[in-house]
Amino acid sequence: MSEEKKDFKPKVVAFACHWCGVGKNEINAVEDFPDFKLIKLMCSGRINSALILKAFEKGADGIIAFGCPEGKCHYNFGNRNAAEEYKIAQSLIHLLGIEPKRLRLELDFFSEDGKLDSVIKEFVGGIRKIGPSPLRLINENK
Amino acid sequence: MYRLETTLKKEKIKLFFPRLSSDVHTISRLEPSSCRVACPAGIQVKAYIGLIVAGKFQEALDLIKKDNPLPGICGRVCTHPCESECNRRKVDESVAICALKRFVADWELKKSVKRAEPIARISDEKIAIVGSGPAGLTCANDLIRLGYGVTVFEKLPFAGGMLTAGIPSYRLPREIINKEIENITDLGVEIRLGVKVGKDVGFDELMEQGFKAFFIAVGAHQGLKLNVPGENDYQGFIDCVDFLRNVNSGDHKKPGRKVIVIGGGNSAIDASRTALRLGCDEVFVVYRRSRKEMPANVSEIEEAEKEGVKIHYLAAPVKILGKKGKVAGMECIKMRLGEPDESGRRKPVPLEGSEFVIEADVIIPSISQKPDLSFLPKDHEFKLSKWDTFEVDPVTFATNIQGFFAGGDAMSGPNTVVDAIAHGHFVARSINRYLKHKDLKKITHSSSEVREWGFRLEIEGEKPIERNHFPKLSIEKRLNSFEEVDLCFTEEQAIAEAKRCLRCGPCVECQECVAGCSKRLVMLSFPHKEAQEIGRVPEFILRVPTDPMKLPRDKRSEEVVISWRDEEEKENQLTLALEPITCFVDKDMCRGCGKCEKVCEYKAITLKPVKEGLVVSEIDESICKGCGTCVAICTTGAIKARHFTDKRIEQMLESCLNQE
Ligand SMILES: Cc1cc2nc3c(=O)[nH]c(=O)nc-3n(C[C@H](O)[C@H](O)[C@H](O)COP(=O)(O)OP(=O)(O)OC[C@H]3O[C@@H](n4cnc5c(N)ncnc54)[C@H](O)[C@@H]3O)c2cc1C
Ligand code: FES
Repeated sequence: MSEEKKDFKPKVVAFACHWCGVGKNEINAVEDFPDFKLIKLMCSGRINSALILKAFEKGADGIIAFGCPEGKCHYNFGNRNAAEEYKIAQSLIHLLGIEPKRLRLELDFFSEDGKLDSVIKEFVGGIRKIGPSPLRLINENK
Repeated sequence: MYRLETTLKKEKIKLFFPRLSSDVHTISRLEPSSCRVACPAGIQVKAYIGLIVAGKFQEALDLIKKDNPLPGICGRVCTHPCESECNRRKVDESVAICALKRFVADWELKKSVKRAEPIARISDEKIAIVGSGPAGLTCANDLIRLGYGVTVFEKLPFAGGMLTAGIPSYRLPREIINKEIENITDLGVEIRLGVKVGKDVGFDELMEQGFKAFFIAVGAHQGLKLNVPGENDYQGFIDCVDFLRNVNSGDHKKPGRKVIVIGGGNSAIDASRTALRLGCDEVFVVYRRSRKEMPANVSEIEEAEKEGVKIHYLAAPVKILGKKGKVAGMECIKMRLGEPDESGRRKPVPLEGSEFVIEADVIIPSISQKPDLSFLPKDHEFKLSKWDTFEVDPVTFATNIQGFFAGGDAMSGPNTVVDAIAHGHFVARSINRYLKHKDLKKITHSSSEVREWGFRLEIEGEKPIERNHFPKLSIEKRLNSFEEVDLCFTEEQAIAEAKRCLRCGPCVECQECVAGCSKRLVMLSFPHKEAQEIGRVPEFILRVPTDPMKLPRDKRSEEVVISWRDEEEKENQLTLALEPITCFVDKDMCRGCGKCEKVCEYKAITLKPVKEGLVVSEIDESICKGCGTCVAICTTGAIKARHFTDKRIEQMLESCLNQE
């Protein structure tokens, strides 16, 4: 915790499919994590690398995408696509010098108590440790 | 719409996405029909009969094979408990389910079918199956399909267990057995003939060779003693299983002139009809209860009598008579039926002073069998019942020794082919879980689940339709050959017979609607995870999209009225038109790569030619459910989602990220 930069408020974008644990429950995490911005999509299959890069470009420090568990996608196949796109996006952001930790895909219904909270805490905590995204710094310094 | 949403949020009103596009109706929840419930292997009887009506014989056979890898065999010798539970019995006679199964199996045999490719091995683990009867074969078939290595050991020089060694070929031609076994070996199952496990190769040795699990399916081949004086003293006294095995191995020598078979099961009838075919002058069957109690199939008894077998009902052996070291006859006593015993059948009681003698030079006892345990070492630790059968857990079929499972006749005592098949399935499922280190105890009996659901059917007003009978070989032709007696239905007969099915329940379970719907509008959901794991689905729900999607676009929207009180306690009202989110193609931007067509599981996207050699994709919005995967995959940005454009997502991003 000591490493966390006290005055740094990470901007975290969450993409969530409409049917997964996050989208369905309209998570209270929104209130619990003020830095957390939720964008709901019909299905995690809508997520592609362009969307992820766009979010980084607009100044996100971290992106977490939520979808239904493997094989449970409401549309049967969307999250498979999401998983593929996620891999591509990981290698792309690596080229841009963005740490892989800033991007995460979670395919889960989060039916277990507290699991979602701990995932978000861990993710946002991780971003706090590494500080603002290099892209955001470039943009802000312009 | 976005701004609206923020206003609503401020008012703490939740607005969900329009769900129109994604919702579906449940049209039918299936109840299993009584025939399927009655089948130990849980075959989807109603469904395959429905397919036969439609003339879809291949589909019918494929469906049978899901639960029964030996359709041609079962179609001939099965005891068909399904027919006993058939609801048509309340109207007239049951549907000839068994013969219909045989019809589709034979129909395939007549065509030249492409032989199956071996299944790819995906697991290093090897499983040893001891015994190549129906239990062992079914288990091997299931396990090889799961990607394991499977070796079946068989002590006899031929495979098939009692099917080959016991059941005579006039009832079950050898080509049928060979063909159905070949279908299993084609998948990669190795059958090692002439290897007696425990003697030629020990269990320790097999474990060293890397076999990780064992299925003991050795059947019950040792005849029980009659316990009457003289039975060990004379030549001409031969146990039924030994007798039939010799004949089935090709020894067609006439055993004697006059033959007595003792017993009332299928095996007794088989022995008597076989003896007639070998040229014996007279053949008697002695059975201690009446015909009603006789466990052999009724049609078997009828045919035996037609062929000339004489059956003495209510008679039991007292003493074997002999002359010069050879059997000369048997003293019997007449019986009457007393109180029901623990099996529920009335117990035969001897009638004092009613003894009589039947002359004979051959006696074939066929009272019952138990497993031959000579293959086990003397100091083995298997838990056995008092009938020498293996004791297993009733759900998992695991013996008391880890890694060893038992089923079929070796576990239940002399039983039937379908039961052996059902056991084969259960054991395969258990072995799979065992090798995956999953908790064995967690399996629930899928068949007992099926059994629990009752089904009520209205039969009022059903007209009787006479049952179709398959032709039979003439008696003259039968007696000096082992040619098959029961002949097959013709195509017309089969369809006519299948039409007698009352189709208990609205749906025929065949799932053809799912496979047949090119637009993928019909879906199944599988609520039982366990059932899915073992490839059996006891229940499912059919779905089709809701009607609004069929309406033209402008009529599709749904009006929603939202009301709330503001701080001044004033009523506020807002009417919203909710429209489904669907995707569409900007034709000018599409370059026809076809990626989207592949990704759409609903088949809403098709490639349409526009000009010479030029195609663009087109989305049928009445099918699209708006998931947006095609939008994500589209490299040119030609596909857009209504109400959910890239621009809108960008706006959302911006407003999120610029908020302070
Ligand atoms: C004459 C007769 C007629 C029948 N008719 C009918 C009928 O019409 N309908 C019906 O449903 N059922 C019928 N049955 C019953 C049916 O055949 C059996 O219930 C069924 O075959 C049992 O299958 P299984 O796989 O358990 O054992 P089996 O079919 O008996 O197979 C066991 C196999 O294991 C082999 N084996 C034993 N020990 C070893 C060892 N140590 N190493 C290697 N291999 C070994 C045996 O040689 C045998 O091939 C009949 C049985 C008989 C005897
Ligand atoms: S609907 Fe949740 S991932 Fe597709």
